[in-house]
Amino acid sequence: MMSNVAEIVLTIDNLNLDPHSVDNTSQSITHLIKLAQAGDLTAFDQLIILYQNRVFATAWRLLGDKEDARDASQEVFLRVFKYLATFKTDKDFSAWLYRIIINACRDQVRKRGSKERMVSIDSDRDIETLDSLVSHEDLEASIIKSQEQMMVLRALKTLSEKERAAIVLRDMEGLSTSEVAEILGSSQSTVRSQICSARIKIKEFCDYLFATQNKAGKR
Amino acid sequence: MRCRKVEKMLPLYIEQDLSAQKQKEVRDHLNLCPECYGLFEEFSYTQKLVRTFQAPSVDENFFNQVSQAVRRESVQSSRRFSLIDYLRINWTIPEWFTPKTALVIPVALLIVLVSLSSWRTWTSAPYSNKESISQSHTTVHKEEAPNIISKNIELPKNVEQHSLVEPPIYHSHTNRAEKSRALTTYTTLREPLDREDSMDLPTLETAGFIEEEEPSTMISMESEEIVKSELQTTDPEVHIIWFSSKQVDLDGTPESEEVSF
Repeated sequence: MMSNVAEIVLTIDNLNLDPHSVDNTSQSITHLIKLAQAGDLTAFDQLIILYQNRVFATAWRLLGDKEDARDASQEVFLRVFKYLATFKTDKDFSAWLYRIIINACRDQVRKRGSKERMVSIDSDRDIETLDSLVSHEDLEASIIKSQEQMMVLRALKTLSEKERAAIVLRDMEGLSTSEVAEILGSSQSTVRSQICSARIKIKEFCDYLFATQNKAGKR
Repeated sequence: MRCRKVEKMLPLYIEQDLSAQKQKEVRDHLNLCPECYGLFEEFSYTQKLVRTFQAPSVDENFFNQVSQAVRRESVQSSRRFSLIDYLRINWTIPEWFTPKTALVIPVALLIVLVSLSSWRTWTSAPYSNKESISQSHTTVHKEEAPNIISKNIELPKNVEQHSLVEPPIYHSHTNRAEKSRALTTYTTLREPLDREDSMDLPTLETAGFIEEEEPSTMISMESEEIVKSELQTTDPEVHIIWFSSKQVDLDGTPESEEVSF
């Protein structure tokens, strides 16, 4: 069994594929899932390695906080482990995983409370996290990039929970409207409406920030 | 297409979330309207920011922590006995068995049971129209007439029951106890009817006379003739006709021995 897992991981490593484009290795991933379903913890470790960045990134976009995203991601993998036996391998594993991420993040928000979420908008942790994303080779470009990232992060926090989930899955994770609708358990028209509303709010927030910065610059 | 309508569609247009027809209409409008095109560029800019919004990578310790947590969960779950897990492991749940079917099957069974129950109640209900009375007469008189009284069937409380109350039928092999029981039942049923109605029904005296007869006497009959009797009920469609073999006893009294329909 160990050799099977090793072969699969080796195949995935050799292909150097991002988990977003694992279509070619879907059979290998299905095999990994089956091994994990049979109780092979090594196979489950490989699933964690394959999906940890994707899970954490989605959780961070949904929650906007690194610590919360970390806790939620850990909870996601625990739920995957717990309910993997119920997953049918002919279904889309990514969609199933996204559904668990959405639910875990929703629970994380409720655990912390909405008040704390609003307080953390300008927290140092966010700035620190965003600073780590930009290279310091071109300082000016890095600062602009960091500001833009900060702007989007703050804009995301103005959205409702459902709008945020829809925009993260559609625009940031690059899923289709029908896939988002299936994951969120809504109709396509509802998702389209949420996406439309979210894009307008993000634009209005960015316009407001630009206007504020311009006023500050003139002074 | 007007500017106001295009403004509403722009958030979806920028990612081609509209139908092909509407995409084309908005595109045509943007080619003609500089103001709407300016708004389109603003939406495109913020959309680009959202698209390129990067998320940080997970730290190195994350995998170890998650892996250990999973192993702890594995040990704990192996210690816990879960009936659902046991069933899931030991029973093969068919492909068609989904939460939907789990709900649909009991509901369908319930509907079938209620339907069956209603049907049985309806079929065993007292006669409520002439058609059912006519059918019951036919069935009863052809098939079960000799047993009606001895079964003590609860008859409908209307005038049609006259036709159902028949005198008991005796055969040469009928024992005395059976004769007595049948006669008592017949008498009980007939008495209230005779008081109310003067229809030409077989009389109690006939049955009483038979009751007093001994099988040996009946066997010794010398002459026999077939008599046709007709009974008109309140339902004009229902006629009861029966044939009896009339035997002449020593004192010349005719006796109805056997009735057939």
